[in-house]
Amino acid sequence: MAEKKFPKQSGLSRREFLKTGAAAVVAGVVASKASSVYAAVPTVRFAPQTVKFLTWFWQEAGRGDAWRAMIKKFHDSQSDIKIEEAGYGQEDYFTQILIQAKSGKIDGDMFTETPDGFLRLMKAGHTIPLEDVVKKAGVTLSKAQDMLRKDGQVNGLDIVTVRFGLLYNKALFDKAGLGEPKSIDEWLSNVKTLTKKPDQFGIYSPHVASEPFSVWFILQQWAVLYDGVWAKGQTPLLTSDPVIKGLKLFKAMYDVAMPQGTDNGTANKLYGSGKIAQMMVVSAAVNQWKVNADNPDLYGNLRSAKPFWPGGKAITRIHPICVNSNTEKDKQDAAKVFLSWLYQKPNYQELLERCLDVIPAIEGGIRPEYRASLTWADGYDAATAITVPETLGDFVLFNDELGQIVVPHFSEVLAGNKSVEDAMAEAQKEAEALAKRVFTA
Amino acid sequence: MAVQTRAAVEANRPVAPPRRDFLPYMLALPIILYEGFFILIPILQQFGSSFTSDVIGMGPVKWIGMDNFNRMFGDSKFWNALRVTLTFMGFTVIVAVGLGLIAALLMNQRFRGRSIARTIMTIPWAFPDIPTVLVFFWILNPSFGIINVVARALLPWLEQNPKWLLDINLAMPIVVSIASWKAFPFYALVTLAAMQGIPAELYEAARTDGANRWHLFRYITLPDILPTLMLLGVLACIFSFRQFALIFLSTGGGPGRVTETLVIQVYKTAFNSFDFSYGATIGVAGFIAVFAITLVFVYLQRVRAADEEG
Amino acid sequence: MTTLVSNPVPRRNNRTFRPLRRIPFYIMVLLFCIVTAFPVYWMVVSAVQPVKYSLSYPPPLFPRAIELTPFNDIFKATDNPDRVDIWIGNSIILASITTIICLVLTIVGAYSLSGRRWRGQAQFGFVLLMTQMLPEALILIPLYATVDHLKLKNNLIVVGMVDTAFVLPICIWILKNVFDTIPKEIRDAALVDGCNRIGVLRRIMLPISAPGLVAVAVVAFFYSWNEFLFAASLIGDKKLYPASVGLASMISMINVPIDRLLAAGLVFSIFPVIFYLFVQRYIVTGLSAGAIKG
Repeated sequence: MAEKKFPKQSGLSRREFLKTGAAAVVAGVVASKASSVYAAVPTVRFAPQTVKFLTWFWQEAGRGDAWRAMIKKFHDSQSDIKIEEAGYGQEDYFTQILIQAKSGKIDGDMFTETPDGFLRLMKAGHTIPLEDVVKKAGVTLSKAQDMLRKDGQVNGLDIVTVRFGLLYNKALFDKAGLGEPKSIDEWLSNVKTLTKKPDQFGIYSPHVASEPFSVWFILQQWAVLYDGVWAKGQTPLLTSDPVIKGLKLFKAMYDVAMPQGTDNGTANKLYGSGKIAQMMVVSAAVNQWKVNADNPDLYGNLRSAKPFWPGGKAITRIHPICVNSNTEKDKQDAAKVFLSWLYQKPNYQELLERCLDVIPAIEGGIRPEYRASLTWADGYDAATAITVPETLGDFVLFNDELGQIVVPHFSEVLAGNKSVEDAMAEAQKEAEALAKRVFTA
Repeated sequence: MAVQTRAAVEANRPVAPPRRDFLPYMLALPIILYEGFFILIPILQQFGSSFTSDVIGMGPVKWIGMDNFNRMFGDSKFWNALRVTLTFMGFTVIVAVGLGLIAALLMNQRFRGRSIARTIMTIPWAFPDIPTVLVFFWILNPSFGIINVVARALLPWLEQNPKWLLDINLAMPIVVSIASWKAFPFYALVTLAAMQGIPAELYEAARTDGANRWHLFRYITLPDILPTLMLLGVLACIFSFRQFALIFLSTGGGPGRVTETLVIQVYKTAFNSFDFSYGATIGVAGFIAVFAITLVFVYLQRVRAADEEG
Repeated sequence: MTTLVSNPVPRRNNRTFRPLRRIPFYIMVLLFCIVTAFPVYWMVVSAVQPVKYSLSYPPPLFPRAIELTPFNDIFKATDNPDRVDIWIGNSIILASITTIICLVLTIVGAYSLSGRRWRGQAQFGFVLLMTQMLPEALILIPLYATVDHLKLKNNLIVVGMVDTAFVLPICIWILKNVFDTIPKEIRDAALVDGCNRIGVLRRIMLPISAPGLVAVAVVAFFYSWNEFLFAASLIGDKKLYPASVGLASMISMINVPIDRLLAAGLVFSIFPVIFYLFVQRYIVTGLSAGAIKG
């Protein structure tokens, strides 16, 4: 049984639970509350602590195992602190965190967040400053992490930076005699050349209505392809030229070259077996094709296209790990000990490599030898970073609301019932109403 | 305790019914408390929440009176969701109860292989929601789904595969079909049970009078099971109003907003947009709407029953 | 029946039995069976054959090859708590808890509603019906807050109790209708014989209503097996996930292990189907709301 290998915590194992019922939990919680005060990042020894780590990483191919390996290494290095894995699938994760935050306390001692979700939770006071962790680890944070600061104090530590890019299968490009496109027009014609329906497709980008979250996530990059943004400050720019052009390009490719109606998971599978030539996808996704592709040669053939679009920008999202402000002081301290261990350069580098990431959060966070070994990362590296707040303006705090306006209207365009202009004109009106409601309050 | 004993004592005098009978109350009380704790108190809390502004990360909870309701009445998405909900409910009730009735009629016949057929026809009832959506997603995939083979065989003039769940006009009928596929077996079984309660002599008598199959159905079966069907109608209304998983997982309310029911909107508003109080407002409004519809049903049934007796 | 008398049906003479006339009937039955069974069949095919065959067009109607590695993966014994066997075990525990609590409360509630009328009975029935009209999403937040406040998260018994609250009214309705079919004379006779009313319930009504109890158990079991919203928020410990939550947790944004998801989906569906196959012959009698009078 796998569960045996997991450290037991305050009566939470299933078997114990059923035996003793609710009383055990209450007793356990009371016991764990018997605490004393420690220094911020204590060097003194702890009473053994279990730190509950909430994240969606566990299910991600490669990333889950990378974290498990690092946690094991941490466990081997000391015996006072146990990191316990907890979390949900990514589509459900943010809902669960919200329900918990709403009722007062996020149910984990450490948790990861998206950049926009983080800002909201930081505002609502669910995070604590982690300056002492950075100091103890002795590292310098990247500039990008300035958005994680409140009153100058960093409240979250970037644990995976993902950048959007165009990841293609070089073998399929070679077979068709194509190189990387030099312009958007060339790209569009390449995409058509690479499509041989019914089972060979030029490109995929998420568009299925049942995954609005993923659709909006990637769709944001399509306006950036024409050097646009979705909003500036409090003004939505849904009818601006770059947004319209980006969506039209999406629609053009959708009509001729995408496996329509295919969800993300299935599309990844198709890509893995060489049936899709390229995807608009974040760098963090690459690991899955290294770990479990149906086609073992695929990973070696992956390349990311160097930016050929005007401006050459790519959305760059930093996902912070935070310590819960509402958990016991002992747990916070234990979490900080873990984080300052993890953020030490060698450990950070190891995590980054195990996760197959490319953009480090700290200076010198990536070993040059490792970087040189990645054949697929040049395009991602060459792009100019544009952050989520830059892409969405003040709507970064209302990312989902904006997505819920754009995605339904755009899905009408994809269904062929509306022009991009008409759909975005309606969306713009709704977004303006949203701005009026949320920004004037 | 004393009351219980007294009730028990009274229960022992069956001859003249006791004037005050506490037993039913004693039995109903735990149920009321249970439902009260788990459902009624939370719903009252939500009702209270609909008069506040409660958006996470946007400051403390404030009392704002009717503002949420005013916002809702001016919100075209709300009216759209209400319309979608009623459409979904209406069609699901008709299709699911209708299929249930047909299936029950088939299963009520004597024929070879009846028990196997009955098992097969009712198995969707046992099939959980998530796998249901998974498999329908594969069947309906516009690029690879087997449904395209069927569609192309039946409609050879199609130039390209329909987009199925991504088609504005097809999404709702498909969602209704999936929900009905999952729901009709229960209605079929209840209807079948009702049919088997009809005395065989009635049919015999009618047959001797020369009644054909249609007459038997029209003049014996249907009148007898009509109250059951009406009740199933009410239940189907309620269940389809509450339907969340099948719609949310298969279309997420899209494309556009053609399948965004009130329940989906409540969920999205509260859990995706962080706007708990407005989500509660829509939820409370939806509850009132379905409550009103049920009242109409119950009223109609009373009238009908009164007509029959009178 | 009055209708029958007042509208005498026209006479027809040739009522000879001809087997050929049944062919359209058999075709209808067959069609019905195919349409209802096909998705189930397709689930099996998609789960057992390598995904690449399902993702070719046209997809083969019968599996081209069988690959069971995904099934092996989801039961794999490693440090990884994403284990379908554990989740299924939790689901079985959860559904059983729900079924038991629900049966007890259903018997109590149905008994109070059936039999002699009492003041407030209609109102009681109506309140029960009303609780069925509330969407789960609406009460999730207050319910979560209460459970969290009482430190009762990560407890399958609590989730079972919540599930019961939502499925109880329909169960009471089913059992009440079954109780109502028991002739009043039988009850009264037992009372005269010196049984009290609880005795009547225990010795007379329940044994007669056994199929009704089975129907109630099935309804409660399915609901709880399926339920996702409450379980997902009230259970945060992966080792306590019921399978519905576990399955959903496999769906992540960046990648979904589609073959394992299909395999897990099939395993997840098999249990209620098997349960149903065992008890289904009691169901029709159990739902014998043959006497539903509204």
